[in-house]
Amino acid sequence: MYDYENSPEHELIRRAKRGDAEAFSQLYAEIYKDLYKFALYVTQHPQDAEDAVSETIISAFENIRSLKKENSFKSWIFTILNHRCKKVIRNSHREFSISDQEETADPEPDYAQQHDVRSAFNSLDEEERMIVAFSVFGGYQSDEIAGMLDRNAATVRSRKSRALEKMRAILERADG
Amino acid sequence: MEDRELKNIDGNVDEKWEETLEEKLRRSADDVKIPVTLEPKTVTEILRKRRKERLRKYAVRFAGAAAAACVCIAVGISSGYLNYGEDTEGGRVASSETDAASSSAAGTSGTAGQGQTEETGAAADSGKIAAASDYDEIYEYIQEQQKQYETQAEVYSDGTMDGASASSGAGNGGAVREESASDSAGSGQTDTGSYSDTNVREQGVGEADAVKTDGQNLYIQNGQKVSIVGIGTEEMEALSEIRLEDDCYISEIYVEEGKLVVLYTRSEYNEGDEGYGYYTDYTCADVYDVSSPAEPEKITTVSQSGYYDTMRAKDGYIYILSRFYADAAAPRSGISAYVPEAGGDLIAAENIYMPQGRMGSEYTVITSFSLENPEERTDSKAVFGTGGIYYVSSENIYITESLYGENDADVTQTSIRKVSYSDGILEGVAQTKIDGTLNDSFSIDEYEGYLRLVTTVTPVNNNVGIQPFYSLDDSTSSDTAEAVDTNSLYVLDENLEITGEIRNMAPDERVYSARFMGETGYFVTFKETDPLFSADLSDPANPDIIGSLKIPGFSEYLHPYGDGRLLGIGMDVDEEMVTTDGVKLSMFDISDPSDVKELSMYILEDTYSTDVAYNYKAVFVDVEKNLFGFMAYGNTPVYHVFSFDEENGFQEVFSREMPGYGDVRGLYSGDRFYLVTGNTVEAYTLSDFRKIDDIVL
Repeated sequence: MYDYENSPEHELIRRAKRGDAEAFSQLYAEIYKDLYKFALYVTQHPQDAEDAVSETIISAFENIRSLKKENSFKSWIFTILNHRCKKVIRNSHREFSISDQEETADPEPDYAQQHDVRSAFNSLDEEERMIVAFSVFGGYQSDEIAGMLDRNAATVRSRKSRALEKMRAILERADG
Repeated sequence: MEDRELKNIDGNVDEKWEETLEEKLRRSADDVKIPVTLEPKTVTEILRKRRKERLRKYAVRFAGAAAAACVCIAVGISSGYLNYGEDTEGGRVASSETDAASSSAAGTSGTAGQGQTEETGAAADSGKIAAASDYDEIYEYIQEQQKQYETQAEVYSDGTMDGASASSGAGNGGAVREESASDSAGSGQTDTGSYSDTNVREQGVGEADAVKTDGQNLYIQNGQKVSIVGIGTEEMEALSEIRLEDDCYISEIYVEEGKLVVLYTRSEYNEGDEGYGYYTDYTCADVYDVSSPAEPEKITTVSQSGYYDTMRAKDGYIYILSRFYADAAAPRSGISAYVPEAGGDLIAAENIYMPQGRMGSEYTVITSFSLENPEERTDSKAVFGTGGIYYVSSENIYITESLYGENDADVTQTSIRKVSYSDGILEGVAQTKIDGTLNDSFSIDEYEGYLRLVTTVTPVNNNVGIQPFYSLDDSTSSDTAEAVDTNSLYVLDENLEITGEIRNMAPDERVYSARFMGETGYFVTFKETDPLFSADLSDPANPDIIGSLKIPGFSEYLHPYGDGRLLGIGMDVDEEMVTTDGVKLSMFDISDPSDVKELSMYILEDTYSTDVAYNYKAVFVDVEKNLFGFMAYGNTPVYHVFSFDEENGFQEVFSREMPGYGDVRGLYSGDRFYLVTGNTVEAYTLSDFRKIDDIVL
């Protein structure tokens, strides 16, 4: 009886590479909430988020053998998810144009209670959302995010600052 | 208001406001409800199902022109012509022209001059399996493979695949699915009659599992331990336990004649360059003398490169199969990074069988030893090339790999590599390729020297090359709208030359399960209904479909159930063919293979899956005792035991809700039935399933 729950990550990865769905799910279980939240915040729509995560799961499971030993499962799957989110956004036509959209209603009424901080976040453009969401839900530093987005670290750092600054301005305006 | 807090903090400590804002954003997601479809449990099920649906839309490894220049050569059976044929069309022409009834070799064997085709995507290229001339040759293959991976990476630079080895493992999930035995499996040991053995793929060939018994004790793999439990009396007794080191991961155990073999993978950490360490895997078999089960005594450790995959036991010899990945980044001089070891020594080039293509990146390593004298390894061979489904008959080990549009082939294919075994001695025999891929190891079967296979042939779109999955719902493929799956049946001789075949069966359906029984083969395809086909294989040159029974739903596992009976375990499907209604048991009357009937059926309401289709070892079957058991998943996982009676059909004789989703095994010894999960064993009377004892290890 293999003990998945207490198995170290590299052993789970090895098993997942053999096609062991249980091992893969165990790896996934550690981070799936953050994956979904990331997708929800980036795509701004529950169905899109669900699609993006579903597709990410399949893609990751089918391609886990391309995960190099030195890469962490989490960063790898977050990178895949980010690509999926981009695709979903392109296909869904739900994309918000840019920052002057802050008055637009939250696309998901269920979350109206978090109107403030979420609508401020929703006013960010796609890449800003990704950068901030990587930081918030993935716990990544700017240089790591830069690696995942294929950008330079300084660019990411300044984009992130600007994004947060934008959010703060919106929140202050709303408040005042 | 929260925003005020924010402003306050912001006002006071300028550095902190960014973090605070991020924290607020994080907290705003606390109440986000994760869709049920994304829960890990659901995901496990979906991924498992997906392995059934494997490949579709998925052509990964593709075709470099480089590969067309090819290797291997092949010596036909009768004469030894060397035909580096340009006749690459041979197979294809033949295949498109034949239809469901035609047999005779397409393209290859039967036709003069084509006994050997070369690599380029012909339907089959049979050949002698050749050993490496030296390590340099192997090195070249690895570099070639690497080049191809890099090309793929450029083509699909979406980032999701990251180049390397998205290949075959993808399609078949890298998964070796192993499956179970012929006739009264469960009683591979019928002669003693007193206890059940693991449900094995091939009768007479032993296999390891998570739980074994010798009638006196239960041997249970329990996390990093192996526990030995005495079952001589009604009251179970924990006798001893063997604990492995933390860097050892137990896969399975095997017990025979007072010896316990613990099979595990040990990972050695190596400090790499630039702080990126890596692990090297060794497959080990610790052999214990358990003649005094309270004091197991270790005799030796047999080791080889790679992670453990599976093992077989026959005539007192143990055969261990592991998979070893070559490190493509290794310098030519770093031989141990790309050539596997056995017992601490590099496997000699002459013992490494080369793949059909001119490239490769992984090996199947096979080592044998006798249980009587495990200190001495009997033989070791490495089969270079990706392994997929392994099938071990009573004389041969077949290493198969699914190919998705390799070398410009326009359909999926399976490579088959045959290594004979006898008293521990291993020898490469032949290799070939056929169209289509195997569903599991029950789709390939040896009988009287002939190898019979049933495959699903899926068109591959080579223009695209790589078609990653975009959706969980791949029930239809828009990309190959006009090109549909078909199914083929092949009979191959000892040299893997096709002697007979049937193509283009059941268009747009896929094989869900198969069972070959002597001169008859049964297989289930499914799209809307479940045709159970019967094939007469008595003449290897003329296999013939003699019957097909259409019933709703599909069987995922078939097991011979006594005289003229075949048990099917699968799913029922509603009339709109949309949802599954529950797990379905069918008993088929196969006394006349040309007129198969469904005698009886039973539906487990509100269940959506079983372990049966994924792991035959999870099935408990004993035909003589007329009992079979398995775990089914509904709202909760439940272990069921059934018996079958001609008058009353299926009778559930026992069911037990299980506490978790862990692996479960049911087995009997004497007049008691044992249910083992994790560290818990429950004992029941075999006659009426009354609980008599339990033990937590």
